[in-house]
Amino acid sequence: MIRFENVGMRYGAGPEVLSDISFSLEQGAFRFVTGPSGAGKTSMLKLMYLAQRPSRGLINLFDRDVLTLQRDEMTEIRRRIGVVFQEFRLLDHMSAFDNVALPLRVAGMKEELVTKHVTELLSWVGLASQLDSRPKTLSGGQQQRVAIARAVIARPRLLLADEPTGNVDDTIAVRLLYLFEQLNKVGTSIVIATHNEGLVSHFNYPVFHLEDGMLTSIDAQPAA
Amino acid sequence: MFRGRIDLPLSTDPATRMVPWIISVMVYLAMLMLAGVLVLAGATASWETGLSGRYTVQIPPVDGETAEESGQRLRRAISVLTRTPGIAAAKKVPLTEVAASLEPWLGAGTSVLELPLPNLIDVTLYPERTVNLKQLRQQLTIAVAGSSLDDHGVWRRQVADLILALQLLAAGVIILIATCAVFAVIFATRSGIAVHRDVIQVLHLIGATDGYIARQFQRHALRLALKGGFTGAGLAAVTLSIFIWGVVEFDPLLMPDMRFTLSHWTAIFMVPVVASIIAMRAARVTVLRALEQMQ
Repeated sequence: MIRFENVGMRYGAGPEVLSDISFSLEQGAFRFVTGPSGAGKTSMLKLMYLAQRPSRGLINLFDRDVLTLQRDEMTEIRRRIGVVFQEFRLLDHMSAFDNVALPLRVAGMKEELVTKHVTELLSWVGLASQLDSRPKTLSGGQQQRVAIARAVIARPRLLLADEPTGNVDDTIAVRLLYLFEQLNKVGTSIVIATHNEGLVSHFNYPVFHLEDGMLTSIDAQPAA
Repeated sequence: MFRGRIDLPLSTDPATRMVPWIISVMVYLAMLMLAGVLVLAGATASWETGLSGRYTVQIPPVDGETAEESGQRLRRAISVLTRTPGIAAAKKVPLTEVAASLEPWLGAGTSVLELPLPNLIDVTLYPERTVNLKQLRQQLTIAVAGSSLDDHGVWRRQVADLILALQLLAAGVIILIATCAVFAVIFATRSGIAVHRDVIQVLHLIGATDGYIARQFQRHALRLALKGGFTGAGLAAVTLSIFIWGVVEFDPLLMPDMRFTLSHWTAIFMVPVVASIIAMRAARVTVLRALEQMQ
């Protein structure tokens, strides 16, 4: 489903932030991406959710070469991907409900169905009483749950999460990871970038480890 | 289109606040211009109808001529005219009418009838018929020396040229007004794109098409343009009413007929609608072009 071959990436004319990244992920995979700050975890995820293009190498997503994608094809692929951004990127002028509803609305779902699905999901993540709250009035943890709900509402085939547990305590972090596990069990591929080694060791999933933009290990077991 | 959801907080943009005002002024000016063009078009048609198919024959007075002699010369001219194929009628214009038409220039106090006025003959042609003017002029000169025939051609051509020039000028001004409105919308839209770049990026990343994002902007532009357009239309309607329903009075001899038909009103009140559609399209094209440059 995802294949990187000797991928390099740089921002503008700057130095390469990712070098010679090669790996492949099959449908239904669950992977952690670890590494210190600045190692290139976010950049790698950006390549996966088509926010950036590689400066060299080949990226294949859902059997399509991303460098040859037309704009409408990129949209079609993005609709198969859910993203939890590091800084959430919730829309402040909208309620929690409208933020979560956005992926369904842009896909053209009928409003009755949107209401049903969003209400259910926000209740499930413990935000039933915050449907009309603006993101700025929510705590960091609540915002994170809204961001996760927005990422999973359209039942993506691939879920990419960038430090999804950065703003919550360990108990909620583990709960969120269990949520991702549930999604993975119904077929969604999950890639989570985190520097929380404790969380990674709590779950028995393979790890991609990045150092200075290079993939230094592809472990079948959590990194030590 | 009107009730569509707008995911971008466009109504908070400072750059868009002036757009309804700009469009209202543009629509106001465009509506008055269009009304002017329609009045001129009506006046041209009216003058054309009044003058086409008519000639005027002038028989100047001769010194020492008696009334009987003058009458004979007049009858000879009318006789030539009525025998000419294509002419339906030839009637003497009463001297009182000639005097009345001169009164605005000579003043009411002047005894116009005491002046040596020419005899005028009003000639009416059959519809769709033509007359050999050269031949008719020759026959009239033979019958009545010094007579002249005016087909009003020169005057009609000059007036028609003047009106055409005014209409072209008005059309040019309307195009200029529309261009200014389009630039205002383009500026506001580009500003909106710059201000909401992050939101647009999020929308893209969650699967919004360029068309979806463009619709957000075009709906907003349509709402602003309708708001401004109908404000301008209301003001233009008040202004036109003042002209039409006699609050400002003009000499009917100097001013063309300012009555508007239903089709005129329809054309005038299409201006805000057309302006809104143009604003909407301008916003859409601007957004689509800008999005092509974005990842």
